[in-house]
Formats: sequence, C-alpha cells, structure tokens
Amino acid sequence: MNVSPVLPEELAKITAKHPCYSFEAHHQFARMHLPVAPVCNIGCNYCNRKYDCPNESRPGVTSEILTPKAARAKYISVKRALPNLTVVGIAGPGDALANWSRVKESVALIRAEASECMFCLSTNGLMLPRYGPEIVTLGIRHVTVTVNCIEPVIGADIYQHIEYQGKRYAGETAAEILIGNQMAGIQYLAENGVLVKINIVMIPGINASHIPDVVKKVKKLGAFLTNIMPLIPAAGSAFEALPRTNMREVQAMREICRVDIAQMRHCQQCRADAIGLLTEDLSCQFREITAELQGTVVFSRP
Amino acid sequence: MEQIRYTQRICDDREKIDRFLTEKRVGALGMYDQEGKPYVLPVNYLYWNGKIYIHGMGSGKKNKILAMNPAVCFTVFEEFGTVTDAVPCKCDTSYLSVAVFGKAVLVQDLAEKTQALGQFLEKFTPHLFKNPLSVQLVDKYRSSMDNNAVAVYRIDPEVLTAKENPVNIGQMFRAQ
Repeated sequence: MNVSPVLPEELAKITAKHPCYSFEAHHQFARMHLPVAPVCNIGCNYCNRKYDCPNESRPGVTSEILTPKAARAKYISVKRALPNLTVVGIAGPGDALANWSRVKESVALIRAEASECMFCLSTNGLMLPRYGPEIVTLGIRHVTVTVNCIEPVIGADIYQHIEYQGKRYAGETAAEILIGNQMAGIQYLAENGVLVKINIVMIPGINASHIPDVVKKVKKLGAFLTNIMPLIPAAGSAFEALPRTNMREVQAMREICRVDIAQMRHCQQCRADAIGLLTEDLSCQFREITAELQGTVVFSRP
Repeated sequence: MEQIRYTQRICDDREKIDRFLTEKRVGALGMYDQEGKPYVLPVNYLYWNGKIYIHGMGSGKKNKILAMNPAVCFTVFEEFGTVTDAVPCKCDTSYLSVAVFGKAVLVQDLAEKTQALGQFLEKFTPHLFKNPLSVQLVDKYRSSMDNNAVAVYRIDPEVLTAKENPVNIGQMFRAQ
C-alpha cells in the first residue's frame, strides 16, 4: 500500500516514515510502544488484561508499566541504539485516553528531547470527544481507533461494559455510547488534519459480515486506512473458546473493502511495549534498561 | 455531454477514484481513425498529478490515429464478482469503472517526459533501478524497432465519470 495521493504534502512526508501507516516504511523505520497507559475504560470480550508473558505478542500485553519520566529515559536509550526509530506510539496496555495526563506528560517530555519524533496513539475512542482537541493541539497526526461495529446490537456481543463519566454501562447502552463517541471523534480528528486508521477485529459469527458497513461508515467520516485483524482468542477472555480467525477470511474481507478505503496488510498485532521494526520485536533486549531505572518505575501490572 | 442515466450507480468518491486509478495498471484506450472506425487497446498507464500518461513506440497505428484524432476515452475497470438474485434478470455484476474523456497529447517537453517515464518505472518496477532516469537517456534513446524516441502521451481529463456496484457480501455467487 502506498500513501494515498490525496494527502497534503507535509502529512504524506511524515507518514512515509510511519511503519504502521505506510507499507514501504515498515521495512526501514522502527517504532517503540511506550506502555504508559495501564488503565482501561471498557471491557472487550476478546481481551484479557491480566495476562503477561514475555513470549506472547498481542495487543494489551506488556512486561512493564512506565511513568512518564521512565518513558523519556527509555526513549533516549532506545533511540541511541536504533537510529531508525521514527515513531513513539502509545498503545496501552489499557487505553491511551483513559490515562491521558500520563500520556500527555510522556509526549511533552520526549518532544522536549527530540522535536523530530513522531507520536501516535491507539484508542477505543470512548474519550475522543473529550480529548480530541488536545490531541490536535499536541500535534499528534496519527491516531488509531478500534471500531468493531457501528450497531449497538452487535456491540453488545463484543463489549461487556464501559466506564464513562463516573458511571458503568453495559449491553446495548454501553455500545451505543461507545459507538457514538467513536464516530464523533473520528470525524473531528479527520477534519482537523489527523490521519485516522481504524482497527477492526474480525470475529466470525459476531461482526464479520458487518465489517463492510463499518468500513463504509468510517470512510465517510474521513478515516484514511482500515486494518482488519484476525481475532486472537486470548486465554481467560470471554472469547477464549472461539477459533482464531482464518487469515484467508481476513484477506478476503480486505479484498472486499480495499475499493472503499486503503487497507493495512502488514499489521503484526504488536504488544503494548514492542520495540523495533514491525517484523522484528526487540523489546526484550531493552527491558534491562528499565531495570536500571529503578525507582522511576512506580506501577506494577494491574 | 450525456449524463450517466443510472444515477444510483454513480461513484463520486474522489479519494476512491484517485486511489483506484493510482493502483490499477492497465486501461483501455479508445480512439477512432479517419474513417470513423473505432480502435480500442489495453495499455499500461500512469495516473500522476491528476493526469493519465501512456507510453510506447513512436510509430504505429496508435500514433497515426492520435496524430489525426487526439480525442480519446480511457477506461479503467475491475470486476469484483457476480451478485445473485432469486430472479435471473436481477442478477448483477459488482464492479468499479472509471471513464476519462479528453485529448491524448504527445508530450514534447523533455523534463515532463523524463519525469513521467521515471514515475512509470517507480510504478511498474519499484526500487529496481538505483539511479533516477536521466534526461539524456530519454533524449538520445532510439528504439531498435523503428529508430524512434519513445512516445509519451498525456490525457488531461476534460470529463471523468465513475460507476460502481459494491460487493454485497451475503449475495455473491460462489461456484457449487
């Protein structure tokens, strides 16, 4: 996939160095995920956030949680070792926007060290209407929102609950609030010059046949790219007994959707603390660095 | 110009059209000769800066026709499968097609010609050549077939139309 010809020149230029938004970039440029966001504000049936294994690689998995100061120190040492590091991403292990003050502080601290560093976020989108303007003001130009459905009745089968404005919601009510905020947030970001990628977990029997509708809708709202991913049936999650989505089915769905919007086909479903090229996770090599920063690591895994 | 009658099928998504034209590799170039006889042939093309570029030998039927009648219709399409229905007459094709109407003009400017050919290389043989295509090579090269320089034509779209029938996921035909 090439960067779309309709991108403004300046955004196209930086996007060409972002391994998740540009196929060409993913062989050359490295990214690091900083696990500074432990809290999550929704419960997804495919997720088990208690799980942590250094040998397992999937979203939500991390072997450590960093404070903003520890994140800066880690960035500096990783950048020294990997000069082709162009992107710092916040991908959990919870939700970037459910930990916004820590995320914001981490971005500010690293930017003060390295003004050329590009930042990206991934989020479930629940808090986008609240923090969208701050994301834009911070100069973050790449945001990924996970949107698995646009109908609450389907959402009720995917999400257990959400925590929103001090209240807990479940079922279709929860899904309706989440979807509404996702849609408003995607549109706001796209209108304000942010490149929005949409992650979709393809769950056979739950949302698979609905995915073309999701793609058409987010395209209308201004999203740039969709990333249709297989379900990883994580142990201990509500969906642990479901089969992993067949990659042939995922590819066939991407083929159907590629006419509507550009498709990401090189996603590695990275850990929340991944480091390096997408195809070559080096995060375990850098864990000792964190150990040396003793005292700055204040969180343990929730 | 006559409008598309089947308005439900009009595609006016400019991003989708631009991406489709950028990614597809072959289009059908429709021309007509001095006697009014039509001539349509498939060609590799480049969609660059909103314009269609084609290239080939500097002599031959296409060159002769375009020198006389530069008006062309250039069509790029893809079929995505057959949409089934309970009624035979209502079975349908899923597709996207784009028709570009304009004039195919021979590119004389050596800089533009070199850049367009460079873009062709980037599209059809990405990363194969380390050095960019030089103006000198484009200027001096002569084909062993006809001793002519390469011909590059540019079509500036005067009218661009697109039609589509999206895939209907539950209704696509599958061979038994």
